[in-house]
Amino acid sequence: MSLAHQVLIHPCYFGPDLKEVIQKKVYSEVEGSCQGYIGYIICITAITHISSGLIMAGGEGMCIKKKCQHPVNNSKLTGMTSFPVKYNAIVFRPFKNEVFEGIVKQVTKVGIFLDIGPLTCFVSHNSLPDRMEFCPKHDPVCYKSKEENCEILAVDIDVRVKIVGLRTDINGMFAIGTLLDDFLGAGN
Amino acid sequence: MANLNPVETVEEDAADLLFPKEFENAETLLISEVHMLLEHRKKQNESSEEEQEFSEVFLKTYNYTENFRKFKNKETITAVRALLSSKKLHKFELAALGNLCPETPEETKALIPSLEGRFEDEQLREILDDIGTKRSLQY
Repeated sequence: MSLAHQVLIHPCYFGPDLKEVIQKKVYSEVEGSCQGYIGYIICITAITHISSGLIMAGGEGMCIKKKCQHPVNNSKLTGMTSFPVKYNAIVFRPFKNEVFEGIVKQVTKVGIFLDIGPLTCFVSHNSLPDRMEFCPKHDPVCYKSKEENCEILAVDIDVRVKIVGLRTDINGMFAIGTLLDDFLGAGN
Repeated sequence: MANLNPVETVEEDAADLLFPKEFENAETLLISEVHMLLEHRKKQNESSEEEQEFSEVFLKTYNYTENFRKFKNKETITAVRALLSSKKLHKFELAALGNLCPETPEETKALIPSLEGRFEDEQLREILDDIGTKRSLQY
């Protein structure tokens, strides 16, 4: 999808290679980050447009055009310039009620943790089917169904999970999932 | 601070095909397609002089796509995408069908509830069978 980003470049980089410097900085700043409601930005496919730069007043992050809460201190003029960049990227954004396949990473008394690519998903023991029971003595620690039909949830098993809630913070996203629905769970 | 957009207020529900407006024009990709793109990027990086390190997110995603991709070669991916695009599917449903590869119409409707009522079981079965054949025929 198409996204926008601003990079700050110090004037010492201005020169014939400026475009390259900007591109490199966009790659290193954006790839692998997780931005609010956009989700994980996995990989930039193309940088489509670089607009002309805007010299900032004051130190980093203080822009003349934006209303700034800090008073602009002229003695701190650095000449940092901000370049608005447009790019296309592959993003990973889970949605509520979407179904994913994930791998079990950790099994605990309160529930299980799954990895869905970069996303961690927690399934509480309340959201596991009633027939599943926690077996701390079993090696490896797992959830096992009471009937002897070998349904088992342990580390490294593939599971289908439905996302019921999402939380975003600075470092990434965190999802809450459930296995309480038809066709969810292990072994599909 | 007023223009901060808190995630909580954005209405979204994949079951009803409700997505934040930022994603209206975004394309959806199959896991297999993502794998191909990341693979390409990885190769490009290996052949370039100054090798850069990949982020954790990149590597985790790469491993995930490696594990869960359903279609292993370009021809199959193209064929599946062409097949699914010819149906009246939302792009989200298209990706979900291609990524989860359900086997029965009941399973499909349970996993992707928005298909309920829009497609007859027979139509769904036909699509699923077609995908299944393409999957079993890859290399």
